[in-house]
Amino acid sequence: MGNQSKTSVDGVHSDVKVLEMKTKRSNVLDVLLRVLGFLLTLTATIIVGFGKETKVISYASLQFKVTAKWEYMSAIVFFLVTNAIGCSYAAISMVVSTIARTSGNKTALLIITLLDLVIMALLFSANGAAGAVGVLGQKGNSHVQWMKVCNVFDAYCRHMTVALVLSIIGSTVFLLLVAHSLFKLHYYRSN
Amino acid sequence: MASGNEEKIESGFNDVPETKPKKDWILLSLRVVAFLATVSATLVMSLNKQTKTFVVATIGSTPITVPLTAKFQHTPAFVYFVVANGIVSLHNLVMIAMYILGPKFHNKGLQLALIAVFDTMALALASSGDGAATAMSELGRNGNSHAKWNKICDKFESYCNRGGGSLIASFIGLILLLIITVMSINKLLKLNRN
Repeated sequence: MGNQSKTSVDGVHSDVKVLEMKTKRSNVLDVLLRVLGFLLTLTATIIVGFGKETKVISYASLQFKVTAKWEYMSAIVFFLVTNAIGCSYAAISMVVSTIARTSGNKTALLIITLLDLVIMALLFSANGAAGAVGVLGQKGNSHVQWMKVCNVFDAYCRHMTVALVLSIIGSTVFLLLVAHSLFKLHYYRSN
Repeated sequence: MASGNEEKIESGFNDVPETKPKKDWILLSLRVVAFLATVSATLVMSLNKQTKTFVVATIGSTPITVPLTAKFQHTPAFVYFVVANGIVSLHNLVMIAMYILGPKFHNKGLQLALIAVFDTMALALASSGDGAATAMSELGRNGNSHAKWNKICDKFESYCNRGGGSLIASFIGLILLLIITVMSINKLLKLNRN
């Protein structure tokens, strides 16, 4: 955004300054949202990855040792992988979007917006999957004779719920990122 | 400044109108196909029901049979899937109606931005519904030995097949919705470039 003050009219000068301030403010908001998304997905990944619980069940004078881990359910594996992808994408796009915004590269900004969209859809589907499995573990399903798991593994279930809520908030942050860049595209035309 | 309002402006030096109507038809037809896909996913899943009689025990020489029904309402994941796809198909219908009934609204900047934002939210909802139904179907087909959840698709085959078909239709609707959102964003960018 170079200073196009060929004329000495004050109006042109102040308009360029207002546009520069708007760009800086939206850049700060963009980076802030990405940092938030990075932190939330990172926390969700760590909680799911390290949330292992082992319990000993005694049933009819026999001792069973049962473990709950993220590997044992494919929906949770999908949830973990997707949150890891979202986390690393947030970290990389923080850097790339700042560079692209200061250098004014419009194609790179559009690509980042589209990638934001795709990663947001992926994150939401992983949230849906983990939510479905979580409800199943919490309540079971009497019609198919699937018993609930959370009465045994209560700490594991609490960890998973916290990770799911964090991931939902993180996906909403990605949604806000897309909406923010859409409205920025809208406001750019008023120059 | 309304750029490219086709026949209304007689300024004479914009040659954009020749390309604009073509893109409108592509977007409209994509929206129609996406609407059909999500509606069919909703309908097929909501009418998904299968009853089968199972032999539970045998007393003497007469077997005791119990009829068991598999309905989509038994599973919260499928209920959420039906509700999400219903909302997304309603969104598609409203967008199609806006295209057909109010074409002069499109070229205002804020309208296009709102359309793109609503498309994004519909994409998020559709993808979460699909993820939930996929997880549930995968559990139904393969079971989970660690949680002692037995698979049910060997017993209720047509229920599972119909659910799978509905899931495929919903995924087609999701991919089309992604393409539609990208095209809406592109429209916003093209408006902004003029």
